[in-house]
Amino acid sequence: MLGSGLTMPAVEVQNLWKDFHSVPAVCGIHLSVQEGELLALLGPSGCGKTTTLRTVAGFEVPTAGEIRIRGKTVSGPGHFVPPEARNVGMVFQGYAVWPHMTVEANVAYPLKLRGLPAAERRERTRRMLELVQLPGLELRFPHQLSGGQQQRVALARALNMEPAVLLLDEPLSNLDAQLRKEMRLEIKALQRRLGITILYVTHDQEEALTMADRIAVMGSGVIHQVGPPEEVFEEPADRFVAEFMGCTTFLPCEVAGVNRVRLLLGEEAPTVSCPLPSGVSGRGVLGIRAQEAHLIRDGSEALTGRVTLRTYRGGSFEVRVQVGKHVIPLITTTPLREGDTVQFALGPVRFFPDVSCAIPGEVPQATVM
Amino acid sequence: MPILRLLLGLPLGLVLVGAVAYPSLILVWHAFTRDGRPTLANLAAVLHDADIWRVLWNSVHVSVWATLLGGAVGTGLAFLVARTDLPGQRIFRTALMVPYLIPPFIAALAWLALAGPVGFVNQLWMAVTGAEEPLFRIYGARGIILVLALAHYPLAYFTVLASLERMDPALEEAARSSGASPARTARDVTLPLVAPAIGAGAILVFLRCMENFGIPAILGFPAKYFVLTTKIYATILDFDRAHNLGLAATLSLLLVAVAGGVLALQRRILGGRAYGLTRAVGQPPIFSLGQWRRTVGIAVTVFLLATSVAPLLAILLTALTRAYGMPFGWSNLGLQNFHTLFFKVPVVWRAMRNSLVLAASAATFAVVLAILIAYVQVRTRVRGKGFLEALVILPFAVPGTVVALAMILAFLRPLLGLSLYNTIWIILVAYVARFLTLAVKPVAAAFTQVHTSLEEAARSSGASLSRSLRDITIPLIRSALVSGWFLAAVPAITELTLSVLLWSAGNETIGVMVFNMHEEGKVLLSSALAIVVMAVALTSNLLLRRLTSGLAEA
Repeated sequence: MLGSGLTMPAVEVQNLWKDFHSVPAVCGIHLSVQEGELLALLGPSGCGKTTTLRTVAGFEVPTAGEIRIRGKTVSGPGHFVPPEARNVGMVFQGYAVWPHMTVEANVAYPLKLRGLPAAERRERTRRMLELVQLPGLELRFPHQLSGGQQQRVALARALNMEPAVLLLDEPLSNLDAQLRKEMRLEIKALQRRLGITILYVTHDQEEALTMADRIAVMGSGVIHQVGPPEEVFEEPADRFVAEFMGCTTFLPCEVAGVNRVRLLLGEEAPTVSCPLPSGVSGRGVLGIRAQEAHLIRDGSEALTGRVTLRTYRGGSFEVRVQVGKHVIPLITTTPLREGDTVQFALGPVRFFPDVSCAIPGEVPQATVM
Repeated sequence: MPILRLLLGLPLGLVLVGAVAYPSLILVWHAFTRDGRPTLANLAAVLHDADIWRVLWNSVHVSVWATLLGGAVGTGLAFLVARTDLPGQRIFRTALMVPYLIPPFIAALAWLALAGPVGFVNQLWMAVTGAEEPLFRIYGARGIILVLALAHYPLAYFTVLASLERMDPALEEAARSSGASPARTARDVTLPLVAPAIGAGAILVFLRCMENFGIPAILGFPAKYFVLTTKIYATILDFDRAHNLGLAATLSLLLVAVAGGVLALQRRILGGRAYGLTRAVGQPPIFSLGQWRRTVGIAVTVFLLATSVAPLLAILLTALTRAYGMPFGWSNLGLQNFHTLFFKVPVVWRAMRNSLVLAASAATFAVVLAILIAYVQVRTRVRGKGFLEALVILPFAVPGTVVALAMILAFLRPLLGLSLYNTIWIILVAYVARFLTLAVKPVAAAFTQVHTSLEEAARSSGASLSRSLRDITIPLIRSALVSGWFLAAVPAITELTLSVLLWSAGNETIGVMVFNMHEEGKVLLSSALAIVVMAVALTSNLLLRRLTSGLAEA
């Protein structure tokens, strides 16, 4: 959508490798962030996403690979631009607002380093504080602010330098749930309004889905899938991405024809339809989301099972349905009782071949899987 | 319940009143009375004495200079170790512990052996240049400043290092991202953020210098250069002078007032400026020394060799010298002094036994009391907890010389039929009071960690309060008790300041033995004994570190 391919990407990461004491953290990833795009780097802790971000910022020296910001190489073989010369704004997980400086001094600091006259600094800082909804707090010290306000100061400070790219490292993880939701929308609105480029690191799939223009799902040092949120959610490239995108249950199955798979649930072996890539065969697993499975009266693809547990989740129930040896969760508003026999459909399902933790062809040999 | 309260309260009250509150009040009483009548005569005598003003000035003078010197050295080293690519970091980290582990009066003796009038440096200087005057005069203010600074700079180093290591690296990284160079980041972010720690470290150095007795005694007496602590010591021993104890008490209050004033000043200046620097995650940015890396590494090595290794080597060589004043050479080296020490001077064994027994008993008393105090502090809601805490800290917060004088004044005459003066018991009481707070800290911390619900679970299982303490709490805090015991015992073994005023014939401590031998001019024997003390200090500290680091991991 945004990546028209005609304009130069704001950030380009090529074949990036980073080892820590010869333990690989990032294994030859490729990534590009387009101008004005918010790209979320999503993955579990320890997957290498923060390391990737820090190599872009210039806090880590890559073991191999090249990083370009607006076409200029900042990290490459025999070449390293220190962080202060990269013009990247960074917002840290712990805010990193300097406690010995006022809000104004914090936000104006990048401008001070560029030698802007005091009057202009003050004016731009005032405008920036208005933008992040902290007007009039110039003379406060960080300890007089709430966590959310400190976060806004950190954001204002990073934006004030008009960075080539804004790097956000789990910026919302220290906030409470309510504030987190507000800040998501606010950052998104700011990004749209100012047209800035953002590389956003998070482990929260909901955060990535709501905010990102594109999501790059990362695990064990490699990128498993890059694409718009809908695509990553609807068509996860592999089992790892599916798990991260809320597929909680995986049922064993085998290919039973064109776009048909047979579930292997003990005595039961129903066949369901499922989009399959051409030429695939053999065994695999079927990924299922509880909120997509639903009760049906009857139908050719209906599964039959017995309710073993019912929990109320406010407005709906989550029930566990036993089919053969397997338990399938589904969410329904029908007040089923434990012991009931029900018929249900799995909804949209995704098939993953047996060895399916990577995108074929894109993963280097020496990855830590 | 009332019996338990009594059991808890009685020994606690007895010790805290008898060993802390009563001596403190007696000290103040003696400062403001003569022959039992209230008077300001002592104060007037002190304030009208030009000599006293000079002594006060000396105290401030040497302490301020030693603080500036030691603070600068300690802060600089902390920066080098924590924030630069200085080569040999790990070795330096360990080496910088050494001056901290050596008792100050031993350091003074070591410096005397190195740079004293007949120390190795001056001997070499005079032999090489044919000069008749020594190169360096260690007696007097300059020598005291030097040795005070070198004995205490680790305090500044540790304080600043801890602050640098606790600082969130993101604070510095945020500055780099904003466009600041490493040097600019150090100036705008790192330095201001550790400024409170630099200040706190300096204050610590200043207070320790102010209250130090051994260094100004050993390096000051020959030059008739007195500071407050040594003046108080001399005044106490000046039996011919009328009202000498009253005057000493007044001087003590003066010393406490100066130290307290500095502390209050620190609170005023730094109050609320101690930044809650959160846990550090990740590597802090490293300031590259570039082409200076080697030079700085060599400079730090030379500094440590000159200030830590050389004096210790000098005193070791002195201890191994057969005959004093003879030219230096292999033929003049041997273990003779140690032989004399251990087999010809029976007092040495007695002093060692006294020191060990005193340290062990004081530590044992302190730990038992610490359990009670920690229990009251953490688990109960009685009123006056703040007062209790103050009583526990007071004898460690005021200079040791003042504590010793308070003990003398409190127990000079038999109290309730008990005569402590001129017995080993007065030293024991002083040690318990002085080192109690060191044992309380880990025990109180352990009590905080053992959640009340663990005790409550025992109670609801049918255990009485004392039974639940015995079966649940004590086993859970056992390692804290052991480290509390060592924390109190280790400084007591090599203690000098208190025992030098409280000892009597037969009740010498090992520190007193070294000091007396030195005062009597037995250079070789005092050096040999100093080596023994140093060995004891280093071993016990090593043991303590083993223990407490094992504890931190658990």
